[in-house]
Amino acid sequence: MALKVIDTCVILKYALDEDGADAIADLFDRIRSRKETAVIPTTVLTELVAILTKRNLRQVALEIEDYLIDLGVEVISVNRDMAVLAGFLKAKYATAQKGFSYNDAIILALAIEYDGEICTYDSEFDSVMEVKKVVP
Amino acid sequence: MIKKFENLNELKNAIDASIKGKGRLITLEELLVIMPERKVKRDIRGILKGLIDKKATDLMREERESWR
Repeated sequence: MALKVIDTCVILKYALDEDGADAIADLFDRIRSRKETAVIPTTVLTELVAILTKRNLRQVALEIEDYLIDLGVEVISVNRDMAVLAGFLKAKYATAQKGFSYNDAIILALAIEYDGEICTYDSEFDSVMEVKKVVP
Repeated sequence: MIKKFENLNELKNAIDASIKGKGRLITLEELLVIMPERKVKRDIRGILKGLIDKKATDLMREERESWR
């Protein structure tokens, strides 16, 4: 099974217990039992913490971070190759559609580097050609 | 082909046999296969329910707008 790069919205969806949380719970179970491998770039953590801290939920943000680490989700630092690749991708997709954010580009670069797939609900990745987009 | 030990007892017997020279060596990969599932302290499902009045994807996209 391909490695999954988990997007922020998947984690938030689970924490908000929205429709689809059951499927995410199954995914997390598979990660916990090592049937699947999942990673996030450090920037997803940054984003998660920023979103929640802005809403005075700093402690919850830290709890979610702990949970992900306990689960076995590996946090990957953006290295030099990934940073350059993300820059190319940002430029490529910024012109092709409304706009690709820096974090979108980093997530995509990570998926390419690790030969994985992007696990997201975000339609921004629909036109991405380099890797497969999957929902949990 | 990695043999998947079903439980610790089966692995223990295989290791015992190996030590006594009656079995083969157990590989690290085989040991990893039977490592217990990770224990997670507290499930975070629904931890934000009632605290944020927005959809997950909207929250994320809104934040990402500032990264453009």
